[in-house]
Amino acid sequence: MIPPVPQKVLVMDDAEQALLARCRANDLLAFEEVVHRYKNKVHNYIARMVNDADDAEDLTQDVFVKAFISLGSFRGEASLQTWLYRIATNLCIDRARRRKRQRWDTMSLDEPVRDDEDDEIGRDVPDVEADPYRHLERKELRQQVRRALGRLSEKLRAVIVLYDVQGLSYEEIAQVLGCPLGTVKSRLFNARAELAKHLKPYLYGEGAEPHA
Amino acid sequence: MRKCQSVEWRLSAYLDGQLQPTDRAAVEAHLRECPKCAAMLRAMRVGVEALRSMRTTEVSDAFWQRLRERLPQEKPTGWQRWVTALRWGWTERQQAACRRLAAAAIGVVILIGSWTGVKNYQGRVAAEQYAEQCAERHSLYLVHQPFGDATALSGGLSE
Repeated sequence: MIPPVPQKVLVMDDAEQALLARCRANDLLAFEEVVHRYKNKVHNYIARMVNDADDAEDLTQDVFVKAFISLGSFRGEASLQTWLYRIATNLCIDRARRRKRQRWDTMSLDEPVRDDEDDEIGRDVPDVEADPYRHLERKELRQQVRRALGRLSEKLRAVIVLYDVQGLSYEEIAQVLGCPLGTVKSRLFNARAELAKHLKPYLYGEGAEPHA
Repeated sequence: MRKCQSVEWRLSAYLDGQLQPTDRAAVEAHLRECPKCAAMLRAMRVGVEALRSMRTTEVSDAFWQRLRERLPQEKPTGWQRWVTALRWGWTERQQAACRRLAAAAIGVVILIGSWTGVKNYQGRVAAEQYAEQCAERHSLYLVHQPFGDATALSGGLSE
């Protein structure tokens, strides 16, 4: 059993309510404090969602610009963090839709993509000539995990990143995504199962039967 | 096969230690017998551990500066602030603006009321003056042409 992710139940406390009230009164210092508190969390989430450092920075900017404009429509039912994650998720999904439309005719399987550690890696075509029983080094494993993440749908990726990377609770994820708790659990299972399915060929070799 | 499906479904919760003791025991018993499910669990565990060990990314140093430059252009417009106020309450400036607006509205109502009253008064005065003029002219007319009416009256009687 792996150690559980620290579960945090984030509700808006009095200090956060006061901060929000100051933001609504166009207090830029208060908004700067919000940005300072959450910028890296939001960036880390987006970086795992889009797997592109430059886009992650730009999208994180967009999240806070949108938050600034939408302060009036934020009801304060969820914590600021939950709200920011919700905006980030929507922006990531919008970006994915745009890119799918734009790249439908132009994407090449041989075209290299850059991961966030500046490693040139090929697209996800299994190399059947490789040693099927090789053990992956940690860095290579992370690359495989990133690729596997990239193959998940945005909805599955959002759940697994929010839970396993960002450390949110099921309840918070349900708030972020606006879906029932059962859906969160089922998506988390599906995401992890997909991840495992993509990793198995690299862990056990192409077509090899796993050992007990 | 059916057992594999039911166990696979619980592997995620098993990994997080969120199964009840009886369910956990059933899953562990199946994992001892089924290499496929055991391999699935191992791959899942490796993936999750890799996710959790990924380094945390950070924004660039110029993040706030860049963001700050974008904010004024995209600040809420006047009407958006009023919509916000309707939902979340008024700021002091908006309260002052409301007081001024209410005072102006009361002033306009008083002005319209006064103007209407004056107009009505002027109308009544004009009507009364006209009636007086008519009565006066009619009396003068009777004085200067007394036979016109008398002839008509006598003619009417002779018939």
